[in-house]
Amino acid sequence: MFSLQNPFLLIGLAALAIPVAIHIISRHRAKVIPFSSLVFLEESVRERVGIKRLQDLLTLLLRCLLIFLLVLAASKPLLKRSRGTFLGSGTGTSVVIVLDNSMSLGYREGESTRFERARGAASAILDTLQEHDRALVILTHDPEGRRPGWDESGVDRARRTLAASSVSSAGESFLFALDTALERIQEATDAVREIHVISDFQETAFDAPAVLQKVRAAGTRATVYAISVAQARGQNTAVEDVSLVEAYPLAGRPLTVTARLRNTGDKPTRETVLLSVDGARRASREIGLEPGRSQAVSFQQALEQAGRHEVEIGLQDEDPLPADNRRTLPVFVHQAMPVLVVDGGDLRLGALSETYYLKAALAPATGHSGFPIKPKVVTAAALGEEKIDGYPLVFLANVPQVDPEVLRRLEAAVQQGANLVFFLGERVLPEDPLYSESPLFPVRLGGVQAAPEGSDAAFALQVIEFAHPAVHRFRRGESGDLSQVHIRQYWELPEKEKATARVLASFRTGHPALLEAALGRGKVLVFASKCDADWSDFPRRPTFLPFIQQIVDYLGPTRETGRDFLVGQAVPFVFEFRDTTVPIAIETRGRPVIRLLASGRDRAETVFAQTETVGTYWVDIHRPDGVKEDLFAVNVDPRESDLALAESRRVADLVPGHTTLVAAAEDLPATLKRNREGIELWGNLLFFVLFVAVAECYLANRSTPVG
Amino acid sequence: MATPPNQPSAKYLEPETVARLSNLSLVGRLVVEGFITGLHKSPHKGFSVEFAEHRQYAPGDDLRYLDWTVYARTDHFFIKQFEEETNVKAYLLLDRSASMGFGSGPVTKLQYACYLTAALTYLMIRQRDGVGLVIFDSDIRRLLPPKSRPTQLRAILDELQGLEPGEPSNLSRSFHHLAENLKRRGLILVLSDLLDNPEEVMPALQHFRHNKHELIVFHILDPRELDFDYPDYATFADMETGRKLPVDPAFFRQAYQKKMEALQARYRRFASESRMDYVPLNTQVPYDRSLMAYLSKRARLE
Repeated sequence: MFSLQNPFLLIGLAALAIPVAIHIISRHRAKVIPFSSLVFLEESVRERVGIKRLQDLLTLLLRCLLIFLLVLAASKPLLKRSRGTFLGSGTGTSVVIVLDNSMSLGYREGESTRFERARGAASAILDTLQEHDRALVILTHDPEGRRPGWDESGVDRARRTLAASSVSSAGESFLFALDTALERIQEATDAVREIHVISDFQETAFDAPAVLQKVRAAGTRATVYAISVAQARGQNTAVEDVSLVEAYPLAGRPLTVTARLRNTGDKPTRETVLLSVDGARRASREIGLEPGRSQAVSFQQALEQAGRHEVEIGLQDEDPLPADNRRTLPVFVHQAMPVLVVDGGDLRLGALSETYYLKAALAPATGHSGFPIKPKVVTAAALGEEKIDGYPLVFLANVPQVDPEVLRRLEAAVQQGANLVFFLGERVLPEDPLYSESPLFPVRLGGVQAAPEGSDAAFALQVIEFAHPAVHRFRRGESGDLSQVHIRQYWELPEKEKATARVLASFRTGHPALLEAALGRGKVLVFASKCDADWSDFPRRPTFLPFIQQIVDYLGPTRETGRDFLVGQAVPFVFEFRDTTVPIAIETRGRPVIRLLASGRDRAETVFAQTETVGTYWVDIHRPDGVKEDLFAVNVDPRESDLALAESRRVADLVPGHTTLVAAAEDLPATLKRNREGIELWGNLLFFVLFVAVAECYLANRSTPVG
Repeated sequence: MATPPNQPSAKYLEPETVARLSNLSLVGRLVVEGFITGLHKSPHKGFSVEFAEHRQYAPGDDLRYLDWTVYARTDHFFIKQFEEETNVKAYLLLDRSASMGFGSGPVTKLQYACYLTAALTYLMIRQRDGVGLVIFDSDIRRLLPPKSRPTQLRAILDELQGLEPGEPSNLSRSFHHLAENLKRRGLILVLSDLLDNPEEVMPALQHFRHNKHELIVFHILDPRELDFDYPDYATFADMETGRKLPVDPAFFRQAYQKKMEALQARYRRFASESRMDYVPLNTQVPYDRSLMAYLSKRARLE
């Protein structure tokens, strides 16, 4: 945008009339010279008059241009990028600074971190403002969730926000803050409006297509400065993920902790990975990582004490971005796992009972009180007396029917996360609601398939989904070969309407042998045959014990979803208690206990939002039915560890047509000065004047050659 | 042929000097005497008009041509030989058309032509050649038949005195008329700017040659007509037709100069082919050049 410092001098443009007038008058007031004969002159004129007229016109235009440029130069024009009026700019300036304080800004480059440089740049921007200007600082992650608006505090509040800001462990994209900034700048009325986005502009920050599209489509009358504080991609190793293989960790049983590490930098690195439990180092391992590659590291570790533990995987050596060098995993170790086994027959038959083999497979070390799986065998008739929701896993072995009330309790327990395993047999009644109507049974009972009597012929098993955790150890024969199992009889299990079941193993006939279905937060497994030796030799095979153990490992209590949260993410607590207030106490290392109250009419609920600190959080939930222990972890967003920087073209296209890219924060004051105050053009214009004058001389000389 | 500039009488060969004199008779005499004085100093010996040669009297010679002065000094009879050889009749064809009135300096072309005519007349009469005068513009306006008597000088000078530019030129018509009327073979001296259609002028000049006349064409132009050296934008008015043309002289100068050079070159080539003498002059050229051209031609006629 042009503006003039001396616009009144434009009146000098009236001088444009001078060359035009001279041009016209010189024709009319030419001296009359008598000449002997015009014959030869007329011939010459006829030949060259076209060129002459063109030259005259060009000369006139050049002279007009010369005057125009001189007048314009005298008016001292300014070229301004920000909006202003042609005859001078407005007085105020509104500035919104989007300050990226996400985790990656903690990266140390040389003497300072990126965030320190970002804050320095923001401070430099505020320093350029006058008393009557206004400024806002919007952090990409505000721990208190504030979204500032304009007020009368001018620049002071922005300075206070800046002084109090710090780099967070959150991984929120600056795009969300930019979206807010665009809204705020629309509300501003000053002539000069600027948005400054100070960030390292990670490639991953652009992975928010919806908000990116919104920002691009927003359009603005402001100038958007994208100020990069990242000098290079840098060097970093991140612990991206930590997980426990076992779903139901039991005290004394070896647990497998798996961590995935990634080299997000651009140089190969060698790291010592440490495993700590409750702050005490337990094991270490060395790995080498190529740039951009990730690698999994596993630790086998037994936790003797039941209860809540904090397992942490960390790097021994600090790198420039230390925030992602460790990751915690909350582990609730159970002393024992109670398993309810419901026998559809008569328990007095001893070794001939339905569940003899099953019980043996669940607790093979009979008499050893330390064994963590505690099966309790009851008959179907006694099931009603059991506290079903106290068991994470229930086996139903050839159970013909259950009482409707028991069925309802079973369904509720599965909905809440308990798991159920069906073994079938000759006693099951296809018409019983348990099999025909209840959502617990995901298929229908067809007919019983039996191999011909007296022969050795049998139906062989074949696994279809080796990748499934319930059967994956049979893949390479680690736990034996399921195809060696001979099944003589089984139930056909046709599909049920409005139910989907996944087939994990089948018979050679093609009929399903093992199915899985989900119900609520729990799972249901159906085996098409019996778990005693009447219909098959499976219970006597060496594969039976690992088969049952794997099912137990897999179907331990369903892990509560979201037990691993990201910094800044809200942790919900919901309890199915009507008109009840549930006190919750949350504690993490180094911070005082935070107490919340979950309440509500239909159910008790609350949200824990103070997840700024990375680590494991211990939770005591004071339910009406007793205190329940829980825990969760808060970790950094692994995407923040990715140091790949976005292409400058992508950054420059942030708000198309309005974005000015500032590659180095040090260049900012000069860029701002130039854009706010504009570029003085009179020097350039004088250069043009010189050029035009030379052109005019040349042209005039051509029409008036010497001699 | 150059006249030494320190010779007092030589200054009258300069047209600017001559222009200050009002008496044409004086002009003719001063020019010719200045010219002859210069000749005496020149290396071209044996080319005298005054006493080219004396020879001893022989019985039967006309006593009018006896040089009594020599007889008084030497007691021998000598006859002036040139007097007996004078038999050339020359016609001076003076162009007084309107364009001849043009002059960028102190001398117009017509004035220059008049002075030159006066000088030539004086020289011819002095050599006892018969000299006549034809004044023309669009047609012949005055014709004095050639005579060699000294009174002819006065008659011609009277015609020249106060001569003003006349009508637009029509060279071909005047020349054709004249060629038809001149019965006796002679020397034709044309003094003109030749600013007429060359396609018509050349055949008319050829007409004289056809009638066995000898021809000298003095092509008189003003220096500005040759170089068109006008500095400023101006409107040029044609002196013959009155037409006006506003132009920037600088822009058309080169093209104009080329056309004038082409015109002169064309006449020069034509003259060479037709065996006539072509003498390009401008009004700043001293008269001796023209007089020498005449004498050179005159010598060849003997």
